[in-house]
Amino acid sequence: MAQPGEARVRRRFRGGARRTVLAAILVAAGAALVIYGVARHSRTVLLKQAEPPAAAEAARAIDEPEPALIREITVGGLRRNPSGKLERTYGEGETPSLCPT
Amino acid sequence: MAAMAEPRIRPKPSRFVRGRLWIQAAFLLVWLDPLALRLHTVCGSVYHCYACPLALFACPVGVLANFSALHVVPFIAIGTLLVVGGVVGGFVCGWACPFGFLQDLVAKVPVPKVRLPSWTGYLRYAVLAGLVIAVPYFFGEAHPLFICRVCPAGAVEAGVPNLVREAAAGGSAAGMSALKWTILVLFAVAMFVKFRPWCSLFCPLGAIFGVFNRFSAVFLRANPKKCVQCGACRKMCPVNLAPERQLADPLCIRCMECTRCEAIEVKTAFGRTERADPAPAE
Repeated sequence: MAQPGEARVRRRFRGGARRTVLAAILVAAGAALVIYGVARHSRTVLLKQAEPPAAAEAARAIDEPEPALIREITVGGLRRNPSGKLERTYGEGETPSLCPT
Repeated sequence: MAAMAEPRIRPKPSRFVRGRLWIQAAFLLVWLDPLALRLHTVCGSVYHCYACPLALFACPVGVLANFSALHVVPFIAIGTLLVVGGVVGGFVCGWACPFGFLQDLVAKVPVPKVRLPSWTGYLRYAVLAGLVIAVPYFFGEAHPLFICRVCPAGAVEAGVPNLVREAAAGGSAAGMSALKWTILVLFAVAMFVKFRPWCSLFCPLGAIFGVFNRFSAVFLRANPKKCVQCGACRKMCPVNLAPERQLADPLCIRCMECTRCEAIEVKTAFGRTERADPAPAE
């Protein structure tokens, strides 16, 4: 039969093991999300154009991977238009805002 | 009557803890992008505004808020926070965050500090749920309560430097909104009279990392065999916690000031610490 002291140590060890497993799960899940975001996740972004968009909207859209979306939002370069699509806030040859906030 | 056990307090913090400001300064150097890499496709893990002219990574809170406004799931930001939080949790706040470093430096000014009850730390979750997720999702990034528009870190690190830069270049400096100026002034005053006012009351990133204090691989533990319940650790804690029973509290920034007490130890989930703590001889 286990002595009380032994039981305490074993209980603590189980607590440590639980933390190890939880931390490992969090890190693995986080790494999986980062890999998915970098390698697989992208969204279609409409480019800003001078003429009314109806004429050439389909041709003026690009697929941007998530890292590129992150870069765009750091310069205030993306917004969600009333139809729910993502679009650039600046046109080709233009520079985005210096400070997006 | 039994004599009360003596508290086991080291005369001063360990060399590592005493060097915290230097470690924060070293991290600041990294975040300030000395090699001009501008890795803004990468989501960072500290509260450092990406609009700062010297920002290495993208601010995770800004990414979360903007992706919420775009109705896009930010897999990279969530994953980065899970990885960093799962490994070190709140240590990011105490040791790596540049905005926390600024507040730590100002807190060195010898002005009496206000101590607020620890429940006020839960305001951070309201900021996270409201200004970072809900307001952007329902009202878009143009709403005046969008987190980046009221963020004092953005004002200090990006608003003011960009204002100066534009003015120096002779451009028309549009400037910050009146609301942001007001927040900046209030925050500047608060830094003198309250230890880490932003971190302990409003920081949404600290709210996220605080949750990980319960699960992170590197953590603090109070050894009940060594603790004599003297309460000395409470006086050492700058965020007004009772470390002997609140080491996993979301408010803890892992400054490790409480480790001056020998009963409080830094542990890692992957170490063999539990086996090294043998049972008393029966």
